[in-house]
Amino acid sequence: MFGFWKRGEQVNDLILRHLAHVRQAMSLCGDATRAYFVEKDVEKARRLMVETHKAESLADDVRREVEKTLVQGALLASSRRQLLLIVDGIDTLANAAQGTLHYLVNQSVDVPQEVQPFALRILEESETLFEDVDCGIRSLLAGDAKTSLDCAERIDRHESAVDRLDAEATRTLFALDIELARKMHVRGYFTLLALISDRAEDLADQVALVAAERAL
Amino acid sequence: MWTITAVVFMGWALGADAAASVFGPAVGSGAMRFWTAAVLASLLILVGAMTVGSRGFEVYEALGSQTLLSAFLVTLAAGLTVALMSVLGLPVSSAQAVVGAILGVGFVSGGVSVAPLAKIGVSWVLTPIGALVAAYVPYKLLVLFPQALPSRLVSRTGVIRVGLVLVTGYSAYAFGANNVANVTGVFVSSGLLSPGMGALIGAFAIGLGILTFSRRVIETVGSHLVSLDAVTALIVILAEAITLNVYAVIGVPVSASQAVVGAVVGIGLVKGVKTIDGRVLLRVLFGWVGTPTIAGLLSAGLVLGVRLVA
Repeated sequence: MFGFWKRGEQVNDLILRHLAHVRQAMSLCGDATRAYFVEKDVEKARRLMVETHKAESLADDVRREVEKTLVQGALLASSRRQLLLIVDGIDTLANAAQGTLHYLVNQSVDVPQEVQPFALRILEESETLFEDVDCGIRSLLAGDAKTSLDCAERIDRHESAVDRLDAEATRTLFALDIELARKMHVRGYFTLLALISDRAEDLADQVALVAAERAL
Repeated sequence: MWTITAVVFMGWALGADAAASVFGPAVGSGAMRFWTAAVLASLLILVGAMTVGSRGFEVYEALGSQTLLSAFLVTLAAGLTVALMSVLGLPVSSAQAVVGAILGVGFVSGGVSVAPLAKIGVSWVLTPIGALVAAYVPYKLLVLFPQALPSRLVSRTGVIRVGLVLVTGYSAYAFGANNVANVTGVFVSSGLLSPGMGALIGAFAIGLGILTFSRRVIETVGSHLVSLDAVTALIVILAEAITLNVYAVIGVPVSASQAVVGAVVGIGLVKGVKTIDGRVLLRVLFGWVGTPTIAGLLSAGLVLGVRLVA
């Protein structure tokens, strides 16, 4: 009869493992981007991009394990739906990080010096934001709805900061005297970079919803 | 032997409909698989019917004795009323259907005793009120002492899941104890069946309804209980079960669906949500007045029809 309890514990552990893989993907994405912009070491950035891809694949494997365990009857139906959405939401962060790197490194995006600081600041915001994603998910699993809501609120603030930086980067970029094709190419990179925080915001909404429902 | 068909029909209709309030939430929330819940509920309804169920037969005895034919017509009319209201999605109240059917036959044939109606009427009114209190108190305690439930998601879900299984079992037991009299009460009170045999046949008929048709009732007619969150559903079923159990011990069959309405209102009072609106009152009033009226007209019509043919 208590097999479902064991499966519930498995889901809890798997979500934390998934979170750890996504964290690794995010961290590698940051290192690769800094290698590209700061160290100007494209080869290192490419190696780290491959590592990011591996971390993202591992996260995918764990996500599928979570889905399988939930389908086998862990937890209650409402929690299953909510956790599936949350795990999918976490997974999109790793996908977004990987997509950003692919675009930057594989297409050798020539980002003008004037807008590079914006890219690095957006990256820093995204890294800080992930700490709040981590905190929100852990608090949710621990049943600390208040902390989950606080983390979700902070994610929203980071997302707003990224939006402002993105807008500033766009203005700076389009004020430069360079070819429109290059501007559009760089703009595409910034769109992908900002996608990480957009997806984190969607995830924060989901976390806040579940946290609010937990309260009697 | 043919008269038993009315009992089987009444029990089947009652069982198919009862699933929504007895184990609908446990299945809907994913705490139990349908067949596990259906078999467990059928067994515990049998246990409830065999242990306490015979007490409810006395009420129908007090309303007047029936012949084999009139017992058949009363049970058939009540069964048709329950089935019709289930199909129409109206609140089903088997106790009120049986009382209405007995009165319908009584008014046409004479020999109905109205004295016990006061006791029955008071029980009907007190059923939703009792369930309201039975839901309000534990829910209020949970709100005041949330630490009573573990906060960690996995532990909390596990406790709720175990609670849902236990409460579903208790609810099935209480339902069998209270409602079996609605199925075979008229036959037992008229000496056409022994109490033990009445409880056994009634429980089997209810079980038949659960095992053959309740899945479809849950999926098509559905139940507003299934859409409640797991903790609220758990307390609503618990309150319903306590109410049915108390009335089973007193020996008055009452409406499970009206107990559910009362319990939901009780939770609403704690949450500060306005649940006592016109529609809720209309549903309860319909159970008190509409159900016995339909069953009474139906049974009277059946008696008159049989007289015309015979």
